[in-house]
Order: sequence, then structure tokens, then C-alpha cells
Amino acid sequence: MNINEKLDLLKKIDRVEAPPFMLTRVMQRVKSPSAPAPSTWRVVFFAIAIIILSLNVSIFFISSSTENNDGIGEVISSMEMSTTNELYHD
Amino acid sequence: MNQAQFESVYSEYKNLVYNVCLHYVLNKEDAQDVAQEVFVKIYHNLSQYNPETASLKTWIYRISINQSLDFLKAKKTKKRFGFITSLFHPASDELIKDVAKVSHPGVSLEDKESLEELLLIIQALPENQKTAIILSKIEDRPQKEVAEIMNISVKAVESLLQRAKQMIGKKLEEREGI
Repeated sequence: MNINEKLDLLKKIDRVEAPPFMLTRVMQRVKSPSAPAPSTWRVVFFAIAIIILSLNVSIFFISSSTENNDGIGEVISSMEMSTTNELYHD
Repeated sequence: MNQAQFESVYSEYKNLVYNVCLHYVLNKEDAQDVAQEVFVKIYHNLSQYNPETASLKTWIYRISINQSLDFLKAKKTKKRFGFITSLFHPASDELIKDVAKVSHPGVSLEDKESLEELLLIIQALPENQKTAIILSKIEDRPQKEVAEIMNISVKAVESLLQRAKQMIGKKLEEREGI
């Protein structure tokens, strides 16, 4: 059987009637607006957002107030390196 | 938009939408869900429909095709996750159920086997080829109308049909070879 004959089989597919209850279901879907997220989920989302934000802020303040360069200073002095950008000691 | 207006559009196009969805998803339960989504979209967007750009029928065809293709994409993704789930839970038979779920109510019993095989091959075609075959061979639309619905030229439709036929022929040969 060639491909065109095989594809002609598709014409034997009958048209089907749409189910009678479909309109009722469509109208139900149309008239009920999409439900908003439950209030508990909204509270939890807000709380998590606040926690993440405050963590970020606190880490920023802690790191900026305690700038600890002791370790770096120790390394520089032990390797006899200069802390300035002068290369030729003019 | 008023309800009477929508109901008249619904009663005129309900069978067209349902049948197009059926040809894509291949079972009546999914086709009902997709067709409902199509009518919800029509309800919300009918006021934006512009008769100068396309006829109402073409516009409804486009919505039905896009909604069906989106459904198939979502189903494919779900199937992939199902496969991953089945790796962790070997008892899950989600994939087996999915394959067995092809039941087109428009297919008569005498042609059931060959037609369902053909429909499965068509379902596996690339989206454009699948749409060209469904519209021209199952929906029996003239090539000019198919081109208008797909928003491409008649030549492009001919080329899509040609490539689809080649792929279908190849797949059928492979199956017969087995």
C-alpha cells in the first residue's frame, strides 16, 4: 500500500459531537475568577522575604564594621613585601 | 462580552474545536479539557478579535491548534518527570498507562488498528508537519485554507505535506520491518 492510500484512511475518521455538558463547564470556568493564593502562603512568603532581606543587611553591616586586616598584614610583613604601590622606591 | 453572543459562537464551533483537539490529543478526556480551555480563551479574547486579519473560523482553528500543541508539550514534560519518578519508584506504571490512552472516538472498529498506528505516527511528527497533515488529510481543508490557518504560503504547506509523507512512509516501513 503506498503512502497516499495509507493517508486516505484518515478520511474514514468520523466527526464526533462535542459533549453536551461542555458549555456548562466552560461557563463555570469563565465565571469563577482564578482563586488568589491562600493567606497562609502569602504570610509565609512575606516572612521568608523579610528574613532573607534582614540576613543580607546584617551580613553587610557586620562585614563592613569588622574589617580585619591583621591576617593580611602578617602575610605582607613575613614576605617582606611593600604595602604601597611604589615599585622603585624613588 | 455578552453570554448570548458567546453561546452562539460556541454552538457554531463546538464540534470543530472538539474534533481538532481530538485529532491532536487522541483521547476524549484530554480533548474535552483542551476544548474547554479553548472556549475560555475565546470568551476572554473575543472582544480583541479583528475580522480584518482573519475569519472567525481561522482564528478559532488557530486557538484550538495552539492550545492542543501546548497541551502535548506539557504532557511530554510530565512524561519526562514521570520517567524520573519511575526510576525512584519502579512500581509506578504512569508511562504504560500513557501509551495505552489512545482512543479516538471517530475511529471505527474495522480500521481501529491501522488508523491508531497512523495517528500515533502523525502525533510524533514535528508540530508544523503534524498540523498540515491534520488540517488537510483529517479535517479535509483545502491547501489555501490550511495556509491561511498556519499563516504560511501554499507552497510551504505543500512542502510540509511532502516532508510529512516521507517521514510517515519511513516510520511505516520501519514498523513493517519489525
